[in-house]
Amino acid sequence: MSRLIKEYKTINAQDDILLFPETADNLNNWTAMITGPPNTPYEGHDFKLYISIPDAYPNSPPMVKFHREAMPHVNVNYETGEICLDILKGEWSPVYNLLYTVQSIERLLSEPNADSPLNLELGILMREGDKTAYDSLVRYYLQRQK
Amino acid sequence: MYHFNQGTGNQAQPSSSESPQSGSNGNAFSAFGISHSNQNNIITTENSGSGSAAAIVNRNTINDSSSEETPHDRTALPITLSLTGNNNNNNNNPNLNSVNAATNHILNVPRSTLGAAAAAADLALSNNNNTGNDPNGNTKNVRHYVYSANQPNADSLLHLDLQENTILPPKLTNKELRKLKDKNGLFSLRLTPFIDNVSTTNQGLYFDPIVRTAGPGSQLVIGRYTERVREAISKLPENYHPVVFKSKVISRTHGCFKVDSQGNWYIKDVKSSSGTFLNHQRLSPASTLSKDIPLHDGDVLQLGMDFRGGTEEIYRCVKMRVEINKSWKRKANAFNKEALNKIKELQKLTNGGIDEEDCSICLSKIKPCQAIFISPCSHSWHFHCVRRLVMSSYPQFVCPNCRAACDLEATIESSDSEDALSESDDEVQEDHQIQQSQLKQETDLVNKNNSGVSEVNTENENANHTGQFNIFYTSPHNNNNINENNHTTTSQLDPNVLNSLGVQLDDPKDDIDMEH
Repeated sequence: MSRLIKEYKTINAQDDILLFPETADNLNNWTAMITGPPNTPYEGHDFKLYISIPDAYPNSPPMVKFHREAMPHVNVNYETGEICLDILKGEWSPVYNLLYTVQSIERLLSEPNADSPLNLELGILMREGDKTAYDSLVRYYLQRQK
Repeated sequence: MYHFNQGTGNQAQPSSSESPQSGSNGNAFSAFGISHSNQNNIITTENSGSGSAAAIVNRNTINDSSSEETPHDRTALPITLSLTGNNNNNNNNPNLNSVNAATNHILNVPRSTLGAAAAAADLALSNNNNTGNDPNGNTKNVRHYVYSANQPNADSLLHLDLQENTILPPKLTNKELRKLKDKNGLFSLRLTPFIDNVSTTNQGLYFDPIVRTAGPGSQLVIGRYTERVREAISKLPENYHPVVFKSKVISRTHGCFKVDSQGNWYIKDVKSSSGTFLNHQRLSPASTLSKDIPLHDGDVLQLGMDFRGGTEEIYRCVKMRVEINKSWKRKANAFNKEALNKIKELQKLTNGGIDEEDCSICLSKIKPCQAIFISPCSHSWHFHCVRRLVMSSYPQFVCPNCRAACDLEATIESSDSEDALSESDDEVQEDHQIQQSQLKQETDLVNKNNSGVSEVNTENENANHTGQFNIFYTSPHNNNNINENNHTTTSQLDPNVLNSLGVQLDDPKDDIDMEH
């Protein structure tokens, strides 16, 4: 628990990433806002992340999700918002922290990985190497939400 | 289903618990197990720290401060609860009985500034003493009391029943007393599993270390962890919990710890069925009240006896080591600090000057007298923090900092020679010589240990600068005997390891000779 308090202080001291606990008295649920990286179809959009901290943290990774039906991405389950990212699963190390986790997810937006698709529709396009179709499908989804 | 016992009405407010005023309404009283709240409001104060607290407080005493965050160590004291909850066990309606019990208390509680809690404790204990003669024997109403640091008349609350020949330590000065207390002025008790590898095969119940803090006059109940207890204590800070274990050989109310104003701790068996043993001596026969026996630092305490051979966890007795009043907190001396500094210096050398002060897992500083784990890649953490990681994949270890994988069971020699191979030839030869001398020392040791037995004859002539060494085995069979006899040198002398060592040396000048 004291570790989360320390992380909270570090997070408050920086202003790159918008990351904050959902309520002031509970550090087990966090919310983050990430902005779509430039030169990607996500540019100009903001995405909300829900982070819940398991009891075993930092020995177990935090559980991170996008808002459901808000993130068209090959490694994100569109319906549930579940994220497939190695450091959130087996590659987690207790040395990582929340800030690093959110930064990694932000990086995932610009570097989709077709090898572990959670979004089959986008995964197929990506495997076929049809980047234009992929990007425009993402844009279509994002547009539809507006 | 638990209550803070409000000594005086104002103590209901967590934020003002340290400044008692004369009670405006003396019967802000509560007893565990009461669910009637006609006069009371239940206030739950959430705590973002490691605990939250709820209190039943008299309506008159509620103010805004009650709903504010309650810091962990300022939870309103005293606390009282009962593990059995009522005077008649095996009853389907415990609440009703508790209410009755509570009513009795209230009737008898003098409405004085001394506080209902103190009087309640008085009553509960005297009840207990009276029922010592009760033929039914099922009325063990031993309550759990945790008082605050400045509880008056602490010693008289305890009703200590000492043996005649008990010698108590001399009275301490205030200064000496302060040393025994924690920063909140409370005495403390720590129980760790006592693991006796020598005498027995069964280990007793394993439990995480238990730390309890309590002011003078407190009485901590020892008992069995039940669903009811879980509910009762779920919102109390852990350091005020009763001492409960998940074992069926522990009676529901097994015994109690008491602490007097001098910081002396006592153990008492309250008619447990399977007994309490202090340093292997049983305190009292089954279902009999024992005297209050003083506890000393380092005592071994056993609760109950193994049932059905203790093969099932739930039937294991609890063996534990007792440490009292912060004795487990070692003060760092000059040597401790120096040792840590040396380790840090060493790490700076291997890290290329980067000073890594923090443990990257808990993000706090590594201080003297803390167990440290240093991985082969020279990263270090508190052993406490990295233990899970080490244990979960042992002997393989992947450094959480740099992801270097290493084998923690690697023998010391082979890892030396791997280092050597990566270095220049000159250094390799030096390393070989170091290895030789190490090997010689080890084999000499073996020879000494097996005087008269000469299976191993290591000739280690250093006349040759290239560093030859010869190892003679009379037979592989005999060598196995050595391995069995000398556990400490087994890994070094295993022919396979030596073989691999020879392979890894991979130096034509080295001549390894194995004769059968």
